[in-house]
Amino acid sequence: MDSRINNQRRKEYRSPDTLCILLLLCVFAFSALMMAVFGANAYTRISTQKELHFQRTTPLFYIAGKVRQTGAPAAVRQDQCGGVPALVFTSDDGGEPCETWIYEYDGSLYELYIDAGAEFEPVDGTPILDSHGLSFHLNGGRLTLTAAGQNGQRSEMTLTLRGGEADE
Amino acid sequence: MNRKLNMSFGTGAPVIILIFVVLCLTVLASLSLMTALSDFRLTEKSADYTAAYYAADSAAEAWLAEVDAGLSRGTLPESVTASFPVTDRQALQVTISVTDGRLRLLEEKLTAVEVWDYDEHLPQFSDVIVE
Amino acid sequence: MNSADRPRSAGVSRLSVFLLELIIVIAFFAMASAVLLQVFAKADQLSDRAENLSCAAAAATDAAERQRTLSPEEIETRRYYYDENWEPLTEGSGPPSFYAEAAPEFSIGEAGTLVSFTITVRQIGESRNDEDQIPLYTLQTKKYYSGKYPQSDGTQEKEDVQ
Repeated sequence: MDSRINNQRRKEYRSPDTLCILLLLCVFAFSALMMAVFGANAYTRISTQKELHFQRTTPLFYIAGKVRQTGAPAAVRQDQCGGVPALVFTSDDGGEPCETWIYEYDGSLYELYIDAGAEFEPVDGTPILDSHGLSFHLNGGRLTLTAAGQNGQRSEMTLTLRGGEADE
Repeated sequence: MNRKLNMSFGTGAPVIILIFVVLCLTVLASLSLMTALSDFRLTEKSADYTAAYYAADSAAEAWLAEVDAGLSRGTLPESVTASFPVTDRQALQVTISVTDGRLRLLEEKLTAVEVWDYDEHLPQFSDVIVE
Repeated sequence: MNSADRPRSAGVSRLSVFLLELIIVIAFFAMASAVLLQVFAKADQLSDRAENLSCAAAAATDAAERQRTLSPEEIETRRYYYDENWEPLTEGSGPPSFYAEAAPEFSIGEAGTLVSFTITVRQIGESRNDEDQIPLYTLQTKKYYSGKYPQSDGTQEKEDVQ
């Protein structure tokens, strides 16, 4: 009889304590899980943000570098290859006229360095960067470039072609 | 015969959860910080390069002003080509022409200051070809 | 001590140990979380700064080159506005979050005018005076216009060297 009463008292004594401790453990486990999920989301967000602004601005600076290395406005023109609009930079390689074609094809910025007048397909170029909406407009000595990231956000850049032709 | 099973919590379970979660978070936080820091440093380099290019371009325009001022006094420029450093490996090269006292900008382009010497940097192989 | 007390104290003792362990673990977790959350916040801040700097440099380049396309009569202080995603804003569309300002300075020489442009890219803040804010990016560029001095009647002929 005494042992039964003692057991009952023991259970009554232990129940609320156990419940509280269990609750505390659950809260701790849930907080830990939420923190881990938050950390993963934060890392994903930072990586995605880095990738997106890289896609928006790097093609613009890359083409700006090509334009500045060309020197004369007459050496830059807009052309097409297989229906794909392209920027063409003419240069002289050891007396041989050569052309650098830059165009967007299959989600990438392609570059192709070939002899002037050579036939080629857009797929023959080398993919340089990811590109999701590059467009350009050449009007006289003014080149307007627009690049977009994968989320559709655009960046624009205007470049002026320096230099001209001497009076004859 | 009357064995009582004492149910109790496993001692050490919260510690294991703590170690796992703190390890995960530390790795994620380090990766996030390293990614952001490398991105920022690369962007800073690109921005500094842009500023350096325009500084060289400004120097080129100032040189054009000087040459034109000299032409108005009847003085011909010492050289029709000038080079303005952008970085230690690139320079802005400007070429002009003077015709009938008029200044014309022929070319303004970025050129490499140092040309990579392929012969100097040929890879040295120590392999022996056995035929 | 009777036999009924011994199992009860053992059970309570185990519970106490576990509770103590849990409390210590939670304390360590709180400290570690505080530190790691600061690291995440710093990484997020750096990422935002990198994006703003990258887009500001592109905006400054765009503004600098646009000034070069202007004729001398058109040169004045100009602002080019961008939204919160750094997309260029046209008149009447959306509230601007950033702007690139091109401020000219004229230096008249013997044979022409050298115009210096200071391109400053800033974030539009809540304060009325944006000049108090630290600029995101600054660029200096120049453009030379060869030509005659301003005439006595105030007109001037200027032409581009190119």
